[in-house]
Amino acid sequence: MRGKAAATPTPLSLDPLLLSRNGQPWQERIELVRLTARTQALYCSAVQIFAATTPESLYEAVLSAVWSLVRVDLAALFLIRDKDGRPACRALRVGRSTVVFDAAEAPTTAFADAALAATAPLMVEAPDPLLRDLPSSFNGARAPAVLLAVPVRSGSEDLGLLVVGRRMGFPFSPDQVDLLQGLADQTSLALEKLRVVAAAAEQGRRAQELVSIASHELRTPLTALQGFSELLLSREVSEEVQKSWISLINQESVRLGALISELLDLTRLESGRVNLNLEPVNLRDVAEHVVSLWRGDGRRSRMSIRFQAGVPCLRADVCKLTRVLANLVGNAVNYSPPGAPIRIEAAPHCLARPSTVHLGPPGSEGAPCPAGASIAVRDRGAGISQEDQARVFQPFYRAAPLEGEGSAGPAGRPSGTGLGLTIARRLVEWHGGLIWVESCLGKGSTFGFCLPLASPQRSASDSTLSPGAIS
Amino acid sequence: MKTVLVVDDEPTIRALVNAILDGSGVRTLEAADGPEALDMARRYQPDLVLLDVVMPRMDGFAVCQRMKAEKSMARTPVLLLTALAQESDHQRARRAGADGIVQKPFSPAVLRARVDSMLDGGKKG
Repeated sequence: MRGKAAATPTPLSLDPLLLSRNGQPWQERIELVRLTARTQALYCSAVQIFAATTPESLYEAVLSAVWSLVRVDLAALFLIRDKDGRPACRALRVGRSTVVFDAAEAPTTAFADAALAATAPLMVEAPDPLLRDLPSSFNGARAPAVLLAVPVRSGSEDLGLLVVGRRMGFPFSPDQVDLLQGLADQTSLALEKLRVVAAAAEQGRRAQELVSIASHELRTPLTALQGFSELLLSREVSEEVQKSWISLINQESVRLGALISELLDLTRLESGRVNLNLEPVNLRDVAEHVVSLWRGDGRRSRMSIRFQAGVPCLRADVCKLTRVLANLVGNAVNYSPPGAPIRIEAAPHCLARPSTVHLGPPGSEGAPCPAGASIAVRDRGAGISQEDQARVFQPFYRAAPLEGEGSAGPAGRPSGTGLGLTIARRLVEWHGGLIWVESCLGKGSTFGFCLPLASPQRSASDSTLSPGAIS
Repeated sequence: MKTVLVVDDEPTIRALVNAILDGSGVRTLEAADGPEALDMARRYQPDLVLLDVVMPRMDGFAVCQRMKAEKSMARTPVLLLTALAQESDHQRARRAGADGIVQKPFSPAVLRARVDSMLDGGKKG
């Protein structure tokens, strides 16, 4: 027990030597009190900043902390916006109230641009012209004579800037810059926390939605199975009718099996339990293999392959890329009239139009196209309306069948489970790529995806995808 | 002979309902989506509509609402055949004016009994 007591450190103990110096002890004490007060204030602000559960409450907490710790007349939080990488003012405090700007309306300033480029705390004083470029919400207030920006950074990634200003021309001391940098670091941690929480909530919402839609989709083949089997047991019918009902039971059983298999695949993809077997992949080999799957099928479509010069060899999972491409080609066959051409194209750059939306995982909106290589499947089928283009990658979305024979399954409905494109999208995302669609009603569709030269290696917790049916 | 309009985008389910009603002395008509259903309901004035909910182009709730809002079809009973299982879906069905709901998967005997009782209580003889 004695040993334990002896080992307990004494907090905030002063060096006895300091007491012997002339006048020094009081200065040291004052410094100590100041440091303690600052630590306590930082601790209180950290608690408030971390307690924030929404971006808006986080912005308020950060600016309140700035206001209480440093004497300022203006405080603002700038965050990097996706569309152009510029810092935009998401919250501004001048006086007692904080204005929170919507992401679309958040103003930018030349000072913030300069501060981001500086990559270190930047202070400017009057009469620097950067001081005049302020958010319009500052209207009516006297322009600051000094502005300071400290970076909000997570590792090497710039998240934004914490900006403070004073109307009187007293520059911020190195100590105050340190203090604000501490707040900026707390802000970046809290932003990361919000991002992780939002991603988890989104994953949960998607899982719930998938369960809800899946239960609906499973009930439809079950209705046929239960209905026709009960009719067979309870009614005397001709052999011909019996055969047709048994055929429908068989068809719906196969569909149910495919549906369950693809649901399991999608669940694995959504929950992150996927292993990519990365190896050098020649896209031409993949395209030729996929086309060979349709040979001897008697389908009416004519397929061709056109590769531009310089399509590189990628590091990717060849089985999963084959599945993605086979799905896109299968859809082109299902939604094209007999004999209509289907072309598989590849290029060492993005094949989509500049305005085409590239789809990736949540939070990747506006991310640059990673096109180390791009591959696209063009058909001259029915095409997809603008409205439906936004929905084709959602689980269980199915376009209306084509008129006439050939495009549909045995019962006249397009074959497939309605999960093929969702799975294709997730597989492309797992490769670090983006998927896209371009279409014009009556003229045809192009589905394509762009992949980086080397896909990121994901951690695998258990198994690979089952090689189930390609729909 | 009474007429029943069967609306479902799944041909297998239309075939099943046809088979269930076969021999019950009713004539069946089929529609594969909402707009086609409204068109046929206006044209043939069925005695009962068996209506799927999740369909492309227009869902069953919207079809039911449109029917109940049109004078010529407002009194035609609508029985929703739905795979949606949430209580909120049932509330939507009631708000849309549906006269009944049968949950998928259903037993043929149960559907036949519901159809018989709704036709007996119907307006046409």
